[in-house]
This record gives sequence, structure tokens and C-alpha cells, in this order.
Amino acid sequence: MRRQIPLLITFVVGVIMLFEAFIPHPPFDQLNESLSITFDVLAAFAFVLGGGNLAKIHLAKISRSQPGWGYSAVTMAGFFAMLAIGLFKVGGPSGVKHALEAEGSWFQAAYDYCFLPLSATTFSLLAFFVASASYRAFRAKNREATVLLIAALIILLGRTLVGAALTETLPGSLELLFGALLAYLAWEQFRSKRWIPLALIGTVAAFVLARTLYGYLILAGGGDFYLLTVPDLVNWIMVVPQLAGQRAIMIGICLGIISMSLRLILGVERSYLGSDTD
Amino acid sequence: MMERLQTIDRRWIFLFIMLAVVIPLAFDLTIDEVATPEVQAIYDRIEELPPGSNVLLPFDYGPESEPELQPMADSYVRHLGRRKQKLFFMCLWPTGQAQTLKTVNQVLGREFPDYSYGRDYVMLGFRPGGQGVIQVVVTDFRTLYQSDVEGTPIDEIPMMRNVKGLKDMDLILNISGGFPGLKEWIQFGGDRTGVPVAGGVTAVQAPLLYPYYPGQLSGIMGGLKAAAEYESLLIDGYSEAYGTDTEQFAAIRRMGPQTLAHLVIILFLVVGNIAYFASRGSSGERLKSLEK
Repeated sequence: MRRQIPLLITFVVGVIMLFEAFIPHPPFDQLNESLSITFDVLAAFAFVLGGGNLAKIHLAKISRSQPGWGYSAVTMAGFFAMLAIGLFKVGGPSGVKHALEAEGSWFQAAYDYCFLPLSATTFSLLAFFVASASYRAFRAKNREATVLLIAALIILLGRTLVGAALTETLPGSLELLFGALLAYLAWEQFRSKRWIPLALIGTVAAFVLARTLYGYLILAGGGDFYLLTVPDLVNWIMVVPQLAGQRAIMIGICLGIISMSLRLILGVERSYLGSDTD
Repeated sequence: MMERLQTIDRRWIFLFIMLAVVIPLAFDLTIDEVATPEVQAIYDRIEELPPGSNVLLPFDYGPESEPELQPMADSYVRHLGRRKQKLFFMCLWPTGQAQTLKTVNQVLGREFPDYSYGRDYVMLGFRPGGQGVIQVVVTDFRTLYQSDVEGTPIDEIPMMRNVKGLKDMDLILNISGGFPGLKEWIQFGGDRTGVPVAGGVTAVQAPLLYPYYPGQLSGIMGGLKAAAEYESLLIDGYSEAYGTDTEQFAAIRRMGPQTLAHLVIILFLVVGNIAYFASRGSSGERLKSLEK
């Protein structure tokens, strides 16, 4: 019975939620709302459970004087201090009706002057580690890493005004760079005597370079001609290759969730129940 | 030389980054931004709303992402205040209420003294349950919010009288630092009710949300740069109110350090790779000479 009842609850709740998505009418929509409220109530209790678990682990560590028990002591001091200040609404108006963040509240002061700067400082340290890691580890070791590195450089440039300034002062520089790269690749094909790739790459390189030169002629004549800019390139990376990759990942995740949900509803997946010996 | 460059003490890198952040701050280096279409879309959406529209502002973030997200929150409220919209603040993160209070005090309190609590804006506060909260407020706020953060019963708040559920909102403008956040507001809020959703997230999160734009997401702001773009739009659009003073626009002021730090990282990437290829070339030549 210890396993059958949770399995039955999972099945019934899962089927109701599934039907509600396709039949948003009574009684399914009302059942969905009732179940969502139950979930929210349970989530509130999870805070108590989480706090209790945190206290249990750290108090045990302190009582056994395990390595790093000093950090646990600081954690517990902060935890109980904030709990007491919050529960008794120290400094602010007392009573259930008033907000924790009311004028003069110690809770808000602790948030503003301790929690906020400490969190922001810890997070800000990331900038230093990212810089160090980018210098030491972000290398063009293979083809995939090179593509990633070039994309990262373009995005980083585009996120600063330098990217826009570069292509504004040197219009067509991206086309010339791309054309030069293609010309180099074509030269490599010529040296290896691979004629078909040479014809293909050479045609593209010639087209890019000819278009850029034509653009320069139009611009010199006072006309208007579109030449690629770094911000445009960044936008293209974000909305074409990046988006395609994200969508593929999302579809994969969704298929995985559907499969796992069906396994849970049908009782095939039972690991969430724990082992029989628990 | 190149091998030494490869094994440079990381404290030098930290020093460069520190200087890249401190120097622009010391010299108050600011940079004008040009808005991208995703940011412009949010600005236009707010401009199109008639005055007195109901805008839900769920602030789902904490202090760790405040440098990136607080300027967005301030800009939204500033813009909505200029357009005289009704603001409904709520949060799915426990830290969200403190962040909401910050924006309310710094923007509404200072710049819009005529904005009255209960008539023009209300703070519903935090409720646990993540996306479960969204699913409930879709039909009725009162199921989970019997009172606001001040303990005032919802039915006694004038601006809540004509509001039942999420469908009564004209726009959902979420600011999110993770889960639950903008993605959940799209999936469980916007998609189910048809209310347009837009919002701001950290730069790291933004690529994950592009698949929803522009269909399910009216506009998206990713990171400090987007926040600075929005601030530039506000300065241009409401020049009579702000002039050229960028003092109150945190994102524009923070873009100086970010720009320089990005340039330093680009420099590190280039130098690191040159050193890598040069040392690889020289070790390859050494191997060849040993083989000979």
C-alpha cells in the first residue's frame, strides 16, 4: 500500500492535468486550479522543510567539530538572526498585518546592508574568473572551438560600441575580412589541386569582393549601399544560428519531458518513491 | 616569451579587469546606445497602451542580479509612470519584494509624488509556488492574495476592485533572474490568457528566450546593454523631463566599465590564442629538430 497509493495519486493528478490542457472547461479547469493551490500550499511548507534541513546539517557539523564547522556556525548565526528578526518584526510595526519591509524594520536593513552587498560582491567576482578562464582556456584548439571563439569575439565586440564604431569608420571591413578568408581557403584548395571546392569557394570569394568594391563605388558617388556592420552580424548570430540551436535543444527537452511524464503517470518510473527499505 | 605569456600569473589578469572597471567609473565614462529591435518593441508597446491601463510587474530576481536588472525595473516603472499606467507589483521570488520596494521608493517616491498607493499602484508581494502561483492568478488573484504586503484586504484596495485575474491585465512586464521567471510567465501566463508578455533578463538567460520572440514574447531585454538602450530611448523620448542628465540612469553609467571590461577580455582572448599558436609552432619546430 505504501507504493500503490502514491502511484494512484500520481496517475489521477497527472491525467487531470493532462486533460485540462485539452479540455479547459468544468470540471477540469476547476480541478486544475484546486490542484495548483494545493501545490502552492505544499511549496510554502517546503520553505519550513528546507530551513529545518539546513539547520539539521549545519548543527550536526558544528556539534561534531567537522572541518569547516566555523562556516557552518556563521551560516547558523545568520539564519537564526534573520529568522528571529523576521518572525518578531524587530524595529518595524508588529502584528500579522504589517509588511516585513516596513519603515524602520531590521529585516529590511539587514537585507539592504548585509545580504544585498554580499550577494552582489560574490556575483561580481565572476567577472574576474571569466577573464582568467577566457585567457587560459578559450583556445582555437580544433574546428569547433575556432567557430565558438570567432562567434564569441563577434558577440563581445557587438556588445560594445567599438564593434559599431569599427564598421562605421571602416565600412565594408567585415566583407573584406570574409573575402580575404575565402581567398585564403581558395588558395589552399588550389595548392591541394582540389578543383571543385576551389571553383565553389573562389566563386563566393569573387562575389563577396566584387560586391564590396561595387558598394565602395556607389558610396563614393554619394549613393546608398548596404554594407554589413558588427551589430547586424551579432543580431544575425542571435536570431539565426543561435535560435536554431536553442529551438533544437528545446524540442529535445520537451520530448524528454513528455516521455518522463508518461512514465511517471503510468507508474513505469518509480524512483521518486524511494527504495523499499526507506 | 610566448610560453611565459601562456602561464602568466592570473593576478595580472585580475588587475587589468579591476582597472577596466575602476577607470571608467572614476572618469564617469558614459556611452550612448542605439536600441535593438527587441528593446524598441517593449518601448513601443508601452507607448501604445492608453493611459490607465493595467500593467502587471512581476519582479523575480534577487540582489545577485541587481546590477543588471534593477536599471530595467527602474526604467519600466519610470516609463509607465510617465504614461500614467496602473501598476500591479508581485513576485515569485522571496527577494523580489525587497527589490520592488527599492524601485517604488527610488522611482515612484522621488519622481512621481502624485502616484498614490492603492489608486495608481499596489504591491501584492511574494507567494511561494513558482509557476503554480501563475496558474492560480490566471483566473483569480484573490485565491492567493487575500491582502497586499501592507495587510490591507484586496477588496479594500480601489484599483483591485475591477481586477479579477490575469486576463484583466493589459501587459505583463516581467523581470527575471532565473527560475521561475520570464519563461514561466510566457508559458503559464501569457499563452493561457492572451495577455502580451515582455520583459528583461540577465545577459546569460537572454539566448534561451529568443525562441519565444516575437510570437509569444513582445520584446526582450538581455543584460545591462539592453537596459542602457532602454534608458537612451527614455532620455530621447522624454527629453523635457530628463534633458541630458544621465545621473539617474544606472545602466548608461555602468556601460562604461562593462565596455572596457569586454575589450580587455577580447584582448586576453586574442593574446592568449596568439601565445598558444606561437608556442605550439615553436614546440613543433623543436620536436622536428630533435627528430633530425
